[in-house]
Amino acid sequence: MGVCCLLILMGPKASAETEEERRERVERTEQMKRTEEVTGVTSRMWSKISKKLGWYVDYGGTARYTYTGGDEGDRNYASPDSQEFSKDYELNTFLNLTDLRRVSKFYTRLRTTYTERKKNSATTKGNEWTELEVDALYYERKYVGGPTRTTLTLGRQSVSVGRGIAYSATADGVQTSTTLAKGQIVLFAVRADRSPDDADPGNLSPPSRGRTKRDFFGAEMKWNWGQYLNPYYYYVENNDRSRNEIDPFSSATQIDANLTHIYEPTFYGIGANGSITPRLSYFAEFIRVQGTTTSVGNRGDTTTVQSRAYDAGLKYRYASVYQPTFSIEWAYGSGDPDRQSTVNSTLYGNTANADMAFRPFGGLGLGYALAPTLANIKVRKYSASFMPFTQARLERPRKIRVTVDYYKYRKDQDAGPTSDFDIPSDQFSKKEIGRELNAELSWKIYTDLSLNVRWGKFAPGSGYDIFANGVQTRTRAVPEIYWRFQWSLDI
Amino acid sequence: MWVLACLVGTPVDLWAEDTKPAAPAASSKTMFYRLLAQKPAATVEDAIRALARYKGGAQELKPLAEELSFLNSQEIRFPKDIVRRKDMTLTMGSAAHMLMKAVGIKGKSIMYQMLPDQQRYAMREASEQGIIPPAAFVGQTLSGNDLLGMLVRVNEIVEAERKAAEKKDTE
Repeated sequence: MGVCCLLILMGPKASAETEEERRERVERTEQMKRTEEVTGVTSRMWSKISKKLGWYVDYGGTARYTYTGGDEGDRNYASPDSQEFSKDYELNTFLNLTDLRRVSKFYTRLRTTYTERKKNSATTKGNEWTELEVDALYYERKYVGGPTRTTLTLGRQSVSVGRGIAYSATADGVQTSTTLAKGQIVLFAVRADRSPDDADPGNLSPPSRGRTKRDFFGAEMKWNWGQYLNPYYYYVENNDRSRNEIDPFSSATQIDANLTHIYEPTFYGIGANGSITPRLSYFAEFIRVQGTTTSVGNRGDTTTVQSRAYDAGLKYRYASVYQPTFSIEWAYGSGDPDRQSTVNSTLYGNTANADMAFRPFGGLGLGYALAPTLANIKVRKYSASFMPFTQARLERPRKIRVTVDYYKYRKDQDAGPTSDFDIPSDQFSKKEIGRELNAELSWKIYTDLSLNVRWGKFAPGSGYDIFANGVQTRTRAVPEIYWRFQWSLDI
Repeated sequence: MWVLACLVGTPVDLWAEDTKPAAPAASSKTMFYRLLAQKPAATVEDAIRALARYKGGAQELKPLAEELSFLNSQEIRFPKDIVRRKDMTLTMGSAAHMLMKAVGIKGKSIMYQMLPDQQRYAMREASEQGIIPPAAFVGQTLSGNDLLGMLVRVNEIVEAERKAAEKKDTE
């Protein structure tokens, strides 16, 4: 039982890191997407080889240096504060083979990272080298028939539906995308990848029992109705094949010797995007989740999953040489008042009643310092960005864009847990999670060299106050700071 | 845009007798472009002649050796065996590399600025600047029209850079 408690305690801590990793992965995938298209960057030697082979050969990569810093444990009143930082040296390499007719393609992308960390404790690894990870390895073929174009992709690939909240991951499987005259149909059947998109974080921590055994099946229909309205609908279900396996942590306690592991939600999403006026655009997505899971108290019994979420926003592009934009966004993920202290675990946390915590297999970026997941939370985001040096005499600084975001977080269910372990969840808990201010500077210095600087400060709200028998025993936790510098070079 | 204005005419094997250019004097200035526009596959020689005209050489057809000599005077060097390779089909990589070097476009890519002799980065730079299509390969062959399109785009970039430099000087 003690091990179970440890897991429950560890879950949210791991989830905050998982959310940051998810955000990094989404950004990396987006950045490397250009390499998946046929580009004009290859060499003379490969040109000759291409002619002989009958395949175009393209290769390259991106080198990145990232410095991430922050305060550790500020939100936790009991633990001492300490500075933490990490330096990541990352190399992404790709190989793209396309046949001369540009119908078939093999694409591979590998990544390796060397990390240096501040060694705050004896258990913290100071330096770590992550050996080659396969981010993508797939075969793609295009079929053209009349007005329709179908693309079939087999292998490890990036799969996402809607705004990437319900499901967005690197996964192994098959995906087809058919483009019609007024829309697009996407179908996929994939298996979750062990890393970095482990669908079950916290459950398969060491000692590992191998990869996540979770299959996803989905369909998405997008309509292209023009400037004003582009609706879409999707459906994603999953098959949790990890059930009835021995809990890897039970070797010490033998409590859950035949642990039933079921978390099988089905996501139904509906959304739309478009422009109300030429300068005012919008997006909206609503997600409903229904499914089956088990409760911590009685693994033999199954309970239902009934949760929901939405994300909607408006963006206005002001006509000015400084290219300013203003946006407002509302995001919501339902919470479960009787869930135990984690919202992220697919294995632990749910009690006898229906699981109402929104637990997606994708996510939404909601601030750098708190980095919450969209579960038991209501978020309002105000954002503004502009290019301050468009009129500068020097050419390079003209590409600088500054973005400022302000977030307000509230709980959906005051007694339910959120993704932050440090926020108490009991009958006395309050809903006010806090506020966060983010700033970002993006600078494309050259077409292949860019700098990105991020800073975030989270100010905890009254939701962090701790009560004992109705009496407040602790006042507000102190603010949390996050900062990051990143250089990126295409080689 | 003056190049595009010349894209009409009848196909003639103009370079067949390299040493004996024979074209009516009145139309010889535009004849080169008219014929080039109709060629299904441009050659290395076409690129050399187009470059010579772009750099202000004589518009009339001259022996290839003279065109090379003129380009040499403009500090545009070619490999020693360029005459032997003159009939080879022009590829996207060769054309991009040749044009980028010849015209001296300031790179917007740091890798191109550091390694300007690498065809790989010249291609990337040419792609970024819109001189070649984004989905182009080094080994992809060019038609005469493609080569003219590249020249037009190069001309636009050089003009834009010149105007920017003038504006900077006046400020």
